[in-house]
Amino acid sequence: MEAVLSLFFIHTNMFDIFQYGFILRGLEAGLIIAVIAPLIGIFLVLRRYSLIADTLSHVSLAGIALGLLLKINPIITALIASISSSIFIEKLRINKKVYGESALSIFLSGSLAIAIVLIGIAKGFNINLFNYLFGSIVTVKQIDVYLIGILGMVVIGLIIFFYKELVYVTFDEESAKVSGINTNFINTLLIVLAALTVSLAIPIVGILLVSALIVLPVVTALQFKKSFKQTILIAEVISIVSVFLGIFVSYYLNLATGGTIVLIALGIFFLSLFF
Amino acid sequence: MQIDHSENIVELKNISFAYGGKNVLEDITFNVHKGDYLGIVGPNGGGKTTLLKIIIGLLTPSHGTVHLFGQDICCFNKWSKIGYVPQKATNFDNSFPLTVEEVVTMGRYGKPKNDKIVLQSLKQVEMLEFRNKLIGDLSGGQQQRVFIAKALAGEPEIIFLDEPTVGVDLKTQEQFYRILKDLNKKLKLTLVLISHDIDVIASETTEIACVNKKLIYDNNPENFLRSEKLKKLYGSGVKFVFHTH
Repeated sequence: MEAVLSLFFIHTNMFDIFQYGFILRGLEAGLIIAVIAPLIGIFLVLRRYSLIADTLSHVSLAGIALGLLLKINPIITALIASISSSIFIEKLRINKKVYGESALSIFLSGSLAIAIVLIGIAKGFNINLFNYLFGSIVTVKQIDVYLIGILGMVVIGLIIFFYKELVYVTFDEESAKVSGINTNFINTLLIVLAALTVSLAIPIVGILLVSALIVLPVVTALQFKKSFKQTILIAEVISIVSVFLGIFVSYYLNLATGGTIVLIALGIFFLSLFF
Repeated sequence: MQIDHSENIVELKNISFAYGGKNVLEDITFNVHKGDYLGIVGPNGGGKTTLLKIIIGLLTPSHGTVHLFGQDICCFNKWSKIGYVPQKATNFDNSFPLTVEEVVTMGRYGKPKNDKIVLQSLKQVEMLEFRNKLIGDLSGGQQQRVFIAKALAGEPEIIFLDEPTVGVDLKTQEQFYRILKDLNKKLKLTLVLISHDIDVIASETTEIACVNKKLIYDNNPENFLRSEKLKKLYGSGVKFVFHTH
């Protein structure tokens, strides 16, 4: 850590970074993503739903490919694809027509197939698609920051409003139902919020790494064996530190942003195992 | 305080339930009255848990009607009058980040926050000193007492318990049933307890319902269990051992 920090000061003034609009946009969007990822992550991890983040990110890839092909903002097409798929996945799970995991793998491979076909039709995309795959703050435009900001607030607001219900359903769905909670609504809400979070996080960490940002800080925080609220708080700190440090380090050392963020989160996770 | 045992809290009429084309329950009719401590016994796979899930609206019967507090289950909305301790309460992940106090507070869902009642419920089941521990760090018996406290915190009028002592040692079981008896006698709480342990039902409860697809109901558990009716339900050649307190 000290070596990295000294590198900053030797080569450049630390605050030079803020001169660049794309860095500022990346930091703003990154902060919102860092806050909402563990908020959704804690419910997904505890319900053994972690894989859904991966599935929804691949569904988002199909949406992004469509957006690039039709020259529409890819975040918007990704949002539409992932939210509509998330509702459909939940319907399949409730109807018990297919096993939960099978529904996820059908959507994961199906949407990857759609994405590949769309990329083929477009005869390959430019560097843009690569940025969405692995995450790059260069991809984040001002309009994206607004979109991430507004929808991020919606996610935070809904989680605070339905916090009690979400915790109860996650802990014991049957008892929650007997308490009068509409569990179908809460389950659908959770999966739609997960879809929103995944699609919004893609520009920063990329399709292939988005589930890591949702899962890793929560799994790390769980190692400390604290109460529910304290666990969320620890996960938030880990997530924000990982995203900010990741953006700074990737900028100064010229590394890929998404990969750096996830590697830092992974490093904190391994450290937590020693506690 | 006198309890009006004629007041029906649960009314089941002609309940049948089929699963995968097979009848699990057939034509079940009975009532649970205010102040009852009803034990539901029956062989494994006899439909006890299914019946309980129908009563509390987790399953919809193929035929028949369920009324809770005089209201049809389809439009029942007084959920805060009901406490539920599920069979698999101990089956959650041990690393689940909830403290004992957070779990019991959940029991007050739909009611105003009241820390005093939460702590009092913990005291009633003798678990107050564990309130800051993670639920997963407790033993099976302690967890079940916390789940009773969670049900109590909602100040219900009836508590349904589905095999609450599975995997709990004998000494803790005795303590557990003592607490339940106190709740029924002192707080006049109506209790519905499912157990495969006929011995427990005979010595603890005030009424009995035996379920093996069909139902036989009696309000004198000990006499009933010594009678011939039980053999019909379980089949002959079954030996029952009783002890009296």
